[in-house]
Amino acid sequence: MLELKNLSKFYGNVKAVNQVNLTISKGEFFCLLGPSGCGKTTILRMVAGFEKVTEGNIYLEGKDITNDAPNNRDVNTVFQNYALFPNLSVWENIAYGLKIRKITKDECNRRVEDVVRLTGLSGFEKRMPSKLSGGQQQRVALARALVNRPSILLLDEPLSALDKKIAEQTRNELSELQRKVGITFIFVTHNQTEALALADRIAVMKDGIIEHCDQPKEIYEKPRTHFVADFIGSMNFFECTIKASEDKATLLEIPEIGDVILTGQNKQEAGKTVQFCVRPERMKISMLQPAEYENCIKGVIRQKTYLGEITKFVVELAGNRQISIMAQNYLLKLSNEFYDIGEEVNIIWSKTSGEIIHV
Amino acid sequence: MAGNLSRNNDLGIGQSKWLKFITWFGIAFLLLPLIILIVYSFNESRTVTRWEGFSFRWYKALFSDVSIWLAIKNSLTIAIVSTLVSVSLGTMAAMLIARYSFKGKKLLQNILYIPVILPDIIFGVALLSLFILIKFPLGIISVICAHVTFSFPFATMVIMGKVINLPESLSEASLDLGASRWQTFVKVILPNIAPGVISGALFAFSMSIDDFVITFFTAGVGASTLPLKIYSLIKHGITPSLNAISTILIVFTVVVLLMANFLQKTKKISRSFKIALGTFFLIIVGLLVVSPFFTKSSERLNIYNYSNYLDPELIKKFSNETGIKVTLDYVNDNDEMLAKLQMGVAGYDIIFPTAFMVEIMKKQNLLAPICIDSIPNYKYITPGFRKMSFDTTGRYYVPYAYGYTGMVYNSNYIEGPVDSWDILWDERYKGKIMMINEMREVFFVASKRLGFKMDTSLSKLNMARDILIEQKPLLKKYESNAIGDLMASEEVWIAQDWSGSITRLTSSDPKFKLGYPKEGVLFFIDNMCIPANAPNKGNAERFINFLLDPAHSAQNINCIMYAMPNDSAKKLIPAEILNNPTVFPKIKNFDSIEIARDFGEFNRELTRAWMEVKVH
Amino acid sequence: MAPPVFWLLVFFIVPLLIVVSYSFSIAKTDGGISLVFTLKNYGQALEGMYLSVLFKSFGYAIVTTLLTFLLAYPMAYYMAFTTQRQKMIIMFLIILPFWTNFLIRMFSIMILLGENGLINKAFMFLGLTDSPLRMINNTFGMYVGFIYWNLPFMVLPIFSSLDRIDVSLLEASLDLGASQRQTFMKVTLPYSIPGLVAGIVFVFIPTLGNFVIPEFLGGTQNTMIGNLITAQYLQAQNWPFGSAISTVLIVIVMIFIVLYIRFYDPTKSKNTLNF
Repeated sequence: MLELKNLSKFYGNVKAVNQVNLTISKGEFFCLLGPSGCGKTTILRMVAGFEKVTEGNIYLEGKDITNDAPNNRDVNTVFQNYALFPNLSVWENIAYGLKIRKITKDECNRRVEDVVRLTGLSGFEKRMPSKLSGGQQQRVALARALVNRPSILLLDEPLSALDKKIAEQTRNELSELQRKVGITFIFVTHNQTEALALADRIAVMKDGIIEHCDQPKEIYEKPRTHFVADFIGSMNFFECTIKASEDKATLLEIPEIGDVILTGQNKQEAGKTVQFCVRPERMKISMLQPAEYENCIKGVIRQKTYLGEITKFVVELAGNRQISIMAQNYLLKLSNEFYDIGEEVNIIWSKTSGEIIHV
Repeated sequence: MAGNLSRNNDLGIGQSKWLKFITWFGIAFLLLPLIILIVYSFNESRTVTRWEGFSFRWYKALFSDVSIWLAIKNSLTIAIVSTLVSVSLGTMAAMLIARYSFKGKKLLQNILYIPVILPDIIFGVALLSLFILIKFPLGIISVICAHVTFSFPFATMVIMGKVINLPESLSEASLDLGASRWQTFVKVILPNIAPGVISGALFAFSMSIDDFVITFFTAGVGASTLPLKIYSLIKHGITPSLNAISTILIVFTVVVLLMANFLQKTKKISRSFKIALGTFFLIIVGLLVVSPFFTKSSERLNIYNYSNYLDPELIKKFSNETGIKVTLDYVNDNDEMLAKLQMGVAGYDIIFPTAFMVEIMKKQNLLAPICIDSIPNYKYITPGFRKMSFDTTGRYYVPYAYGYTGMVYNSNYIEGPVDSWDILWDERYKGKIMMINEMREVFFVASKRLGFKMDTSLSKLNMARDILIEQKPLLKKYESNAIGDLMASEEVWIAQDWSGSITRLTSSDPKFKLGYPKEGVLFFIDNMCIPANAPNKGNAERFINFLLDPAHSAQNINCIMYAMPNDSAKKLIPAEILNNPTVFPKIKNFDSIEIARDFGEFNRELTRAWMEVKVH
Repeated sequence: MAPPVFWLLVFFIVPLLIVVSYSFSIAKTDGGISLVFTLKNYGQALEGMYLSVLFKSFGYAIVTTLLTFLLAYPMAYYMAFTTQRQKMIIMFLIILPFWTNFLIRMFSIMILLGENGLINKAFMFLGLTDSPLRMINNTFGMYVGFIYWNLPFMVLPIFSSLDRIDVSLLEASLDLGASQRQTFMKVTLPYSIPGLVAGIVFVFIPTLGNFVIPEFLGGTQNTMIGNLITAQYLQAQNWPFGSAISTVLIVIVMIFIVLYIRFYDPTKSKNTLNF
């Protein structure tokens, strides 16, 4: 179990990491997600021991490791650029940590063989890193870290240097591998798809602060802040006021556009200004009138982009506001072709869709 | 990545205290000598190591020294021309290697590596051999050729780095748009490789301006560069003005480096300023390159003499009276003089060989006969000196000065009287003894100590060699030029020395005393001769005549403290000098004293034995 | 495009060939050379006394290289990992003497180490010694001169190879359990080898051929190959013998260059050691 308590890192006046508290449990696949410069890599490097901690503490299995040297920590890192030793073969790279620890030759060979098999590197043991593809290099980096059986494996954007296809494939293998070895993974990425696909839990970071930490589904469905809502997937935002609210339903007033209803929420404080947000794929374009369980507003189609599996519409609402709507093509192929730029349409979504974000 | 860490090296890699200490110690080691030079350049004292108050006198001396300015001008001319040629050749070679494939390309590339690594001295002797073989006159042009040869491979490598990174498609695009190959080179390739060309030029320039060794071998008379001048000043112990030159060079370097840094940082410099700077630079370059062709016309005289062997005031006076520009190069010994003449180095008008060397040079047709008629003051020469055994015709020399080699010692450390050469082998004075750096002088002492007369016997020579080898550990060094300085600074307590130099020391401080060995001393008669290839023979004769004037001779004797065979001059000399047996040795018959002789074929054996002493 | 080739041929290849052919000739008394084929000069060059100069020069060059390395490596190492600002300052200070004339630098060492020099004065003031220590005109002075001259040539290539090391490699090593010392031995040192090799070549070969430093700072016993060659050319007027010694030096240097290119091809190294 890894615990970060009030962890901070300042570079002069810049607060790269600011008072972060986090508990990651054993065997968890944990993901730090955020744009570049948000402090996610700094947290990782502090856990690895490469950067000094300005304030706060790091506990591993209850033991304070804040000031331990990197070589005395039971954690290993897979580097963004892999940092394979170019003068050592694949086998020697993987065995590096074991040799340093003076583990017996037999034990060393056995463990390297195991991990080579596990990462699918059999047959490449004698190769030099410069003769490997990116994906293979990534596996060597992974194997080199795993062979030491750390309590925690830190992965710093390990897929960012790979082609899209290979990254996707490696992503699946990584997830499988983590389940097999049962080691805690802390995975740093700026790619939300990777995070959503891999993680048991995600911490979304911005400016050195964790904005929201939860399971992927919760993060996507119920973003707690505007940043999280905006950063993950796409989102339409509406400034609005709470007109009335009771236990299971809230009436919101969007200026110039009209009233909408959101059900399934807790009771909100009436009169408060909030943001109401709905994902584009939850909205649809229609000529028909809404059903009773649906909200409806009016707009004019300004852009229409065919994207293969979906068609994206940009619709202009009253007061020049624009929102986007994504329609699945397999469902509505005909009707999507039916709507054209410049047409006035109804925008309809279920009253259960959407989220209120407090400003 | 490296950048990241260097901003925030939390792991403390390579930042331990002792590493920091060693680093700053190393830097202090590099800078301390330079700081000392700067400080001492403002020292009033003549000796470098004692502080006697703040003064600009060495800067004044420096600015009035024409030969230094001439050397600086030569250095700049050579550096600029060789840089231009190097960069042109370098660009061609880089294009050739990067853009064309041809037979022997790999070979060319490898050959280009060799000059980068080859020791300078090999370059020096190889080019010297070439120039002498094809009778190419040694001078500014030969030095430029030599500098181009070692600097253009460097320039090639620097420029190649840029050429290789330039995509081929750029020139293809230019050709496609209708430009010729030349237009493509000028308009597309050159602007893109310009940074490489500029740094190549800087490389070539700094290598040329700093080179000593190769210039040392390939420079002729009148092509003396600043490093050669500095070498000669160090060798002849003329040190305070050296401090001043060094300081100026260091300050200049720092200013240039800081300015370059400043120009790099402030990119917003007005275009007109750049143009002005460029024009200024171009004008200076132009003037420098052109100036040698203008100064050629004026009358000149090149003297090749030992240091402290001619009153500098007399040279000034001669220059003022006649308008002839006089340059003075220092020679180390007779053999070096002979080597220069044998190589065919043209340019010296007067040389000062010792008697035996006159004989050797005459035999080898290296001397021009002197027209006695154009030297009216020849009449003042003591008759007995006019047709001596080494040139019975008397046509090839005019006697200059004579004296002998004895010893000088510091009586604070060595109890006198010193009356035997044996003291030069005395273990008690280990490291404080010095011998003259000339083989005949040294072997004479060894022979005398063994009780021999120096002759062409090989076994005697080898015995002398052996006791000289035995003496070596006791010696500070072999030194001909800075004996006075080393005695004055008390780094040496006893030295073999020439009589004039001894007299100058003993009269400067009573603690210095003459040591006259009972085994006998070696006399010398030095003469003025004109090399066969002297360019200004008439001026040489005028100068000889000038020196023979009794008043001038007397002034010269007062300055250098050697006797001259000029009876009229003796009347103008103070009695204490005239009666000083160190200056005017009491000699009855000049043909019976022991002087160094030409051993003919045996010279080779002597040289071999001397080399064996030196390398042991 | 032929001028560079022509130039190399006339001013480099031909002169070297002249030197080599002279080395098989005989010197005449008047300083001339008679072109006959003889191995006498080589016989002389490789006989006891001159051979010992050769070995001595080798010894001096090796010791100089080693001492320079011992001072230069820590400097380069510190420099490579310090702050950007300090890096620039140190670089400037190291290059500064580099831009000052070599002879002037040697002269300044002569002043500094002389019996009345600052070091001796400081030592005597501190009571470390009663009489001035002899620090020039002996082997010590020569080494100081050589180290002073060579230091920047050793520091800069080592620094540039250390500076190019991808720091994540060092982090990876620490991360995998290696201590700082182990990381240095297993990662840092191997990656600085290209710079080290360049530094060694830039120090060893010029030192081997130098004749000014032994002359100014060395003692009577510190004669090196360079002094021998200079003396043969400019004093003894025995060019064939001087050429033979030069040829021996050329051969030695060639062997070094071939080894250097074989083991460390300057054009390839970057790819194999740093991606």
